[in-house]
Amino acid sequence: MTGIAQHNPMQKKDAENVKQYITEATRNVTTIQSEFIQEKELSVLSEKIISKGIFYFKKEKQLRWEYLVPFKYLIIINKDKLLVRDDNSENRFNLQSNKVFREINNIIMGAIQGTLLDDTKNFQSSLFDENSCYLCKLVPINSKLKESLSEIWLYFNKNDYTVDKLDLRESSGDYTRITFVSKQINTPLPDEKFSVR
Amino acid sequence: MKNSLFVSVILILIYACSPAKNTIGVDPLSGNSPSPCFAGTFEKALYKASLDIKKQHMGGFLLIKKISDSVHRIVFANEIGMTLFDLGFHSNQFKVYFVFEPLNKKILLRLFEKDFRQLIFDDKTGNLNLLMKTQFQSEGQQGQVPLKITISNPGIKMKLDLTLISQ
Repeated sequence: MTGIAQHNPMQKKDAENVKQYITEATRNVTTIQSEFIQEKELSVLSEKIISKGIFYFKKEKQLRWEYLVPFKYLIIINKDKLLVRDDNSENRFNLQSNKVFREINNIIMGAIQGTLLDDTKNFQSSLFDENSCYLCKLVPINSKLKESLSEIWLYFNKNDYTVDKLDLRESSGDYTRITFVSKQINTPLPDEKFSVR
Repeated sequence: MKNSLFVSVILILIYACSPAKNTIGVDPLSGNSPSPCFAGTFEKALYKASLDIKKQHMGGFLLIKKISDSVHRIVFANEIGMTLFDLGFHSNQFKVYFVFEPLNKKILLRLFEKDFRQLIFDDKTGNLNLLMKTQFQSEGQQGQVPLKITISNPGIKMKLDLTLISQ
């Protein structure tokens, strides 16, 4: 982390080129199916909470976030509708009425579709050329979002320009890292996977 | 007399055979002194958490960590990992390290302070009123910590369910 923080942002021209590649690549992504590992780092307490599951995305705005470990938990976002299911209950919400999920959804969708990099209204972005990836650091401008997240770091794969992992960083120093593994791009995904009924 | 004895025996048997379910601090004003949920060599416990406040539902992880004999920290993060609150409990001080804006309500924080303090220290000295009456239930035990805990407050329609993940 410290090593990354010390690196200088890419030259403007190079950064524009990489952004262009990312935009091109994400434009061609219609579906993503991937396992994920989520690590919540509580820095002050020296604790890490680890969850695992499967993530599905289908263009335009369909997301299925299936946690399997340490407990089953399902989030489906289908356009403006949100379904949350755990062992005991199933709840449906309108995304517009749930602040937490609305913000998270905007970030995840924007990260996958590459639109966050150009979201100059809500984020100040800088791009870094790392050995294994392109790192995009986003600082929220929006004061509401700033209260929960100080920075969002997106790690783009240098071969296919899709997101390999992302960090949701909080001002306390805690962060949540979501790493996508065994990614499958553009494999057919049935609409039923995203049903919120 | 025989009948009432029989009923008493049956009730005792039913109670004894039901899963270990303790209702602790049913009425924090009653002056009863139940044992605190976390005692002895307890160091930390990670729970699956489900929090309902009126019509708002939030789920995730609740970590209770003992920093020292007199200091505990309780962090609630949603499933996606976003911290919803991070609270510090000292023997005579309460510190809000972070609270997610929609939860940043004075009455709610007072309730969290009072309820968690009772859970950890068995301290019922909070400034209570009838509206803030809370019910605690614990079920089962693994080592030093309960397997399940339910904290509910019908007055402000708040319910927190905790299921142990690890310790």
